[in-house]
Amino acid sequence: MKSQFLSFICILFIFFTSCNTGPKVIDDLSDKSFNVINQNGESVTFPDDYQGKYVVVGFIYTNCPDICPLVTQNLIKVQKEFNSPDDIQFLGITFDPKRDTPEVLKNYKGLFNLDDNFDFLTADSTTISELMDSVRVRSQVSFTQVREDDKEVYFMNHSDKIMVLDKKSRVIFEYGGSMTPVNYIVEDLKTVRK
Amino acid sequence: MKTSVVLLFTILLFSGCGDEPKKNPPQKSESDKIKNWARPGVQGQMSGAYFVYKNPLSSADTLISVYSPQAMMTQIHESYTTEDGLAGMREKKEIVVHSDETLVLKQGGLHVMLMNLKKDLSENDSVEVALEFTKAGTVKLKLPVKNNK
Ligand SMILES: [Cu+2]
Repeated sequence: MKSQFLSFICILFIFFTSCNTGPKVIDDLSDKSFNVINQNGESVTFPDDYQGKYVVVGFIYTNCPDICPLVTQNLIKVQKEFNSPDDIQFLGITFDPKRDTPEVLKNYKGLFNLDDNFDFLTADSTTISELMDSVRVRSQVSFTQVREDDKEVYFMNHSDKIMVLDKKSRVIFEYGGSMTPVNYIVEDLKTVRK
Repeated sequence: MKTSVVLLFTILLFSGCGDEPKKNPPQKSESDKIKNWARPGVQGQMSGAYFVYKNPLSSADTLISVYSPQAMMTQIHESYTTEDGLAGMREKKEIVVHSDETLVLKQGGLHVMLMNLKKDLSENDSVEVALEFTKAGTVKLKLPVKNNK
C-alpha cells in the first residue's frame, strides 16, 4: 500500500515537472553564430542579433513562385494577426544564395509591402549551408532548364518549413511551411508570449 | 487503490502536455475566392499564375502548351512532395481535361510558371496567357496581378 502511494506521487511528480518547462526545445541555436546579409546589404549575425525577440523564420528561394510565396504569406499573416508587434521578428532565409543576392531579396521583399520587422537574409554559400544544416533544412537542385535565350535556370527541391525561436534563440516550434494553418502558429506564439 | 493509480496514470498520460508539433494538415486556402490571378514579379525573375478552365466540349481535351508574351518562357508546373519529403516542382507537359471537368490551377498545386519576366508585374497589371488545347485550340486568358494573397 505504501509503495503504491509512493509510485503514485512519483508519477504525479514526473507528470508535472515534464509540463512546467514550457514548450520543448527542438534545437538550441544560442551557441551558433552566422554572418549573414539582409536585403539592404547590411551585415547581420544570426541568431545573435535577434536575441530578446521571438523569431519566426521561413525558408525560401525567390525563383520559386508557388510554394515559397505561401511560406512568406504565412509569415505575413502571423505578423498581421499580432498587429506587427515589436517583440516578434520575421525572417525569410534563402537556401539559394547564388541567385538570391541582397538586391534580389530587396526586390522580393518589395513585392509584399513589408515593414522593418521583416527581413530576408542571405550569405555566402558555405555559411548558408552551415546555417541550413543547423536547422535541418535540406535543398538540392532538382532540374535545370535551358531558356529561350540559352541561359540555364535551375529549380530546387527543398524542405518546406517555418520555425519559431524563443528569446534565447532556441527553436521551440516547427511547422510545414506552406500548408500549415496560420492559427496554429499564432496560438503557439500566444502560449509562450503571455 | 491499485486500480485508481493505474487509472490516474492513464488519464495523465493521455491528457498530455498540449504542445505536440502539428504538421501539414490540409488547408482550404483563402485564395480560392479569386481564381484567376498572377503573382507580382520583377523583371528577369519568375512569377506564377493561376486559373480555372472548364472543358465545354462533349469529349476530353488535352492542354499541351501555354504561352505568355510577358515572359521569355512559360510552362505549366506542378508543385509536389518528393519521396524523401522535400517540396519541389516539375513540368506538366500534358494535362487531360475530361468533358465538363474543371481544370484548377491554384497555389500549392498546378501553376503557370512565368520565367524570366520581360517587365515587372505589379498590382493593376495583368498577364496574358494563351492556352493550347488539342481540340479547343487556343484559349486566351487575362489574369489580373494580385498582391499578398
Ligand atoms: Cu514552377
